[in-house]
Amino acid sequence: MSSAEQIEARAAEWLVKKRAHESFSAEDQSQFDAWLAESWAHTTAYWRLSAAWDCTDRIGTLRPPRRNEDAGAARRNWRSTVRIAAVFIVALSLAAAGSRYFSTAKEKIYTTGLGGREVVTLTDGTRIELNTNTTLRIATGTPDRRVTLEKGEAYFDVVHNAAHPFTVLSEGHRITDLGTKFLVKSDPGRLKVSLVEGLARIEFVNEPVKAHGNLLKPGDVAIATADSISVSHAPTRKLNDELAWRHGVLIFRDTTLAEAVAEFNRYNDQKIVIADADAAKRKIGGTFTTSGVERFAEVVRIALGLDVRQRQNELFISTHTE
Amino acid sequence: MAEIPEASRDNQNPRFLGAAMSTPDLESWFIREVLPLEAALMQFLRHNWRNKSEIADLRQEVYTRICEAARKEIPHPPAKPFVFAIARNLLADRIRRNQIVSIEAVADLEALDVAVDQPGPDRNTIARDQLRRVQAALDRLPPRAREAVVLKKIEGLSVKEIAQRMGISENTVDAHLTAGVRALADMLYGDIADLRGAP
Repeated sequence: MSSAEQIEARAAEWLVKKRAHESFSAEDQSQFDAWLAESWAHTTAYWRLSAAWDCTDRIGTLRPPRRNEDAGAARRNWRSTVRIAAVFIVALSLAAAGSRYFSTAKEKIYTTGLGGREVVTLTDGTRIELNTNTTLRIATGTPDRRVTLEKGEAYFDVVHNAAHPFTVLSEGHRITDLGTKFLVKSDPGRLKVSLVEGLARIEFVNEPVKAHGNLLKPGDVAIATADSISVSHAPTRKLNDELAWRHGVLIFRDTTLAEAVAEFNRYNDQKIVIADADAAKRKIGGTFTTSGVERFAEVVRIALGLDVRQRQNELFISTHTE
Repeated sequence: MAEIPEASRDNQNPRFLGAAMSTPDLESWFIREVLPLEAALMQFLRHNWRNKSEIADLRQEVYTRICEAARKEIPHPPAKPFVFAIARNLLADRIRRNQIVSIEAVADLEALDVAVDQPGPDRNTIARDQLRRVQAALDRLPPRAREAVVLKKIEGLSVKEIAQRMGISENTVDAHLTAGVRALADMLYGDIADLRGAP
């Protein structure tokens, strides 16, 4: 370990002691001061880590507000005020750095990891449910309600307000709510919008807003790419199946193994690999929890009679050859 | 942000006079102007110095020299030429001191002028980019460290509550947080080769 690394390790210990614990005594403080004062190397190492520590203040909380009803409500409310204050201060200091940034600084980022699922309730009552591996940015402080889906999938239950339309931007497209519940799934270069209730409009971001754009009605599924938007209609049951993740499950009906495996791989670190084309074409039905890779593998093995093997962190599915 | 209290400003240590100056200004300048250049600085050091195990020490020495020079008067922006002039001088000093007259090193040092003149991304881009990098950095932390950092920084739990939630001791929570913040700093400021545990 180099001396710089030792200093950084010590700086990190001080940071955690000072910033993560509630008890930092006067004696701790004077020892800390003395350590900082020993050299610029100590001081800059601490500044650097402290800046990184503060950076995470800009990430929004994913906690739905209603959880505040429990015993810790007062404390959590207080903490979230501090957090909002921190975000605001960062926004202000960034504003000082460059005015153009100000508009983009007033955004909150919400994110889920692999297998994660979170609900965000906005102040207007609009609910956004984030599925696995999803990132979205919500503009704050502007009358227009604008959400950018960076990646992943989210279900929107929008409280309609004609004066302040709710828009979702993703993959070069703009979806405008006209009183809606809808699902948006964003893959690189491809966007899928499924309308559950109400009306919405989808158009290219760089086109002007048209009153008669692609209007989506309940059951409509729009597939949008960089240069095209196509709309088809799906039966209600299929839409409900697609929304099953909101309850932590995956529903397959006559689904090819290739599609089912692709779904599981969206949620789990443990990936499933299909070794041959014959196996990929087999069909499967059933309801599984999103994390139920083992159970799924068991069903594949028993019901479809396929060979399932564990190799490192991957499950290999293949047709029996021997 | 002003972590340096009054007590340290009139410290008696004659070797370290830096804290006698307006340290909060220096700190905010350092975070705002110097840290965003770290990725470029690390690339430069790695490119021009053969002994990779010394890179972390070199970076530390560059930061020390920057603060020693800037504590009298904070240089006018942009900081990039200032930072790289210091880095280049440091390498030149090391080469002289070690008496390794490496032709390669000298050649690369001369080539540095070109690199410094190239305009870097403007600060707006860096700031926007950084918001995304914070998110990506959090995502890439080792799972247990990420959990501890998220519970602390985003959910605002105490260390004791985190320990209970994760079923580990408070000391282990501290260890996760310590590792977490170091990895975060590397991912936010350093370049990709700095990532701890990267192959």
